[in-house]
Amino acid sequence: MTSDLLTSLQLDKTFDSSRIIVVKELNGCDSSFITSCVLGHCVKNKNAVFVISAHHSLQHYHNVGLKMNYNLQKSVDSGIINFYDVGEVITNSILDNKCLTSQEIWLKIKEILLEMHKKFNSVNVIFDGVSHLFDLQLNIRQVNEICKELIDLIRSLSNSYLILQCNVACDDDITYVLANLLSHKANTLAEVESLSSGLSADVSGHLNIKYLSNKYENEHRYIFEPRSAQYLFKLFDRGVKLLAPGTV
Amino acid sequence: MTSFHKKSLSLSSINGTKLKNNLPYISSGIPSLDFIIGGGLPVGGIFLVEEDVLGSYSRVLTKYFLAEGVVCKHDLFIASADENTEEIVKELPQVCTVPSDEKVNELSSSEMKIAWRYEGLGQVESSFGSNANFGHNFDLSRHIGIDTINNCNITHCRLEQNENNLNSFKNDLYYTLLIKIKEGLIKEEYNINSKNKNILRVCIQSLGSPVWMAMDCDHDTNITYGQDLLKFVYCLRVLLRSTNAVGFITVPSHLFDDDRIMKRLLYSVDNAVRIESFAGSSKETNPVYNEYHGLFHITKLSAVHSLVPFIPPSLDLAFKLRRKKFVIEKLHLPPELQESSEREQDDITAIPKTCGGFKKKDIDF
Repeated sequence: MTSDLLTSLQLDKTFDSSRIIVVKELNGCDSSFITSCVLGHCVKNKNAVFVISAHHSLQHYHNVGLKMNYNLQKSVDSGIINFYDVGEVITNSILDNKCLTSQEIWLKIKEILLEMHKKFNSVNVIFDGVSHLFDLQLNIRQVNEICKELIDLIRSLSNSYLILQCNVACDDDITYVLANLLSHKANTLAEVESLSSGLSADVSGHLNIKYLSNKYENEHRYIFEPRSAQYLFKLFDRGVKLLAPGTV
Repeated sequence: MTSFHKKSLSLSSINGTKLKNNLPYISSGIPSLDFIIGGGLPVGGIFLVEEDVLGSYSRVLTKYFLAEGVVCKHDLFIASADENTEEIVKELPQVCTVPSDEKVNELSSSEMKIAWRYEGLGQVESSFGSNANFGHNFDLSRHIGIDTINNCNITHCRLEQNENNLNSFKNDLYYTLLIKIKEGLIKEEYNINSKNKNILRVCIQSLGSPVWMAMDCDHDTNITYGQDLLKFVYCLRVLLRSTNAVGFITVPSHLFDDDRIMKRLLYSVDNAVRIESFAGSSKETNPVYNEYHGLFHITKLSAVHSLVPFIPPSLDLAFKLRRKKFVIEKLHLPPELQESSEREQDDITAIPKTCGGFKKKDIDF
């Protein structure tokens, strides 16, 4: 039930170069289903993943994974998936009355990523809850710096992808600015948005995918505005179903 | 007998909890609230209540949450910067032993003779959770005895300002509280893997009220306003999520002039509701709402340990506070029982002018 999503994010294809996928969470929508689907895909194909999480815990992803028929904890134990809880690291430093600088945070991430890269040929990275860095009193410059360094590093490593999940609190907030900064560097932008009219049992929300990097490719050279793919999605315990608008 | 034992059985052994998605849930003390947020409060999560303007109903919610903890023999941690927490504990309501009025009205089994077509239809019920056997109802007019309270493991945290220079927080109240919660969580009982488990109910009253904000506002610029609050809630989320503790926070969001703070806070909490009391507003006298005391808004529902969040049957909710029950119901209009005097033939002003009548606009008062 996850193949539709993986196809639309082009994660089932192999590319020569690395790719950046930015997920914008609008209107209070939770995009953790994308992480769970991607993790499931990677566990089954034995691809190495480095999860930097500031929002959900490993326990959450593990329990979701069990319902989706994969065991995340087993993969973490075997070392193919590395789960780095950046939120916990920063919180512990705050409780010790210390303040980690953005540089220290980045260096730790870089160290783990490079170590994984030595072991595995390609390492995919998922950064869950980038906007929480603002809650921890990092400013836009520092957050952008961490993301920029991460994007540059991923681009230098071939054949991997980076998924950045960024929550947008509202239009005039700093999280919106960050989401736009990240989208500017993204190859693919996925906007997940919960229904503005309320909650529905039939549809969980809107998914709008823009293939921003298409404009640099030969076949799309003469297209002024690249077409975006619009879907409705419905979440199930075992995955996510994409629906074309109007077909519910 | 087979040797197969369901692993999850061991998890449900904590008193006053039920399992959902392999995660224990506790009751908020209000069965209808438990129902609309998906079966209770997930352990390891934060539940946020945006206070009503006068704060009276959010206080009632706090009392229910704590009283439920006392009944289920959970441990309590109560913090407030505004008032003495020991006073709150003294006023906790006692559990109702008598079955509530609704249970008396059992469905009559007699066959319908006239409206027989409606026989097969289920009973329309606008209030939620009245037939769930999870959680208790409490009687606000009677208080829990001091002996019972003394037998409970209650940690009071009275917060006072100190002029400490901290690296992590501008306002030391937040830091002090975080450290105290961390110290409280060290106990083996609150570890998710321990054998002898118990729940810690962490209740923080009026977080971010002017007493908390005072230090934030000291600085020259307004940019940092509310930053410590966001940082605190995020740190609390991280602290609680791998323990057997549940956070229950009330926030006077109507005092924040920047609504972005609330929107960002919601990202860090698991479930959130907002109480809109009619007291002091124009809705108090509106006949549409005369059955209720206020509106109840669900502002955030998240899926913990699952992909699918709970979808409540309706988002148009209202509440009423009875002596023995806090009821959250689907908002509906009151039945039209009175004969309307608005009929055209009764209205003397509607007589056509040609017959010696006069128009409405001719009347001056």
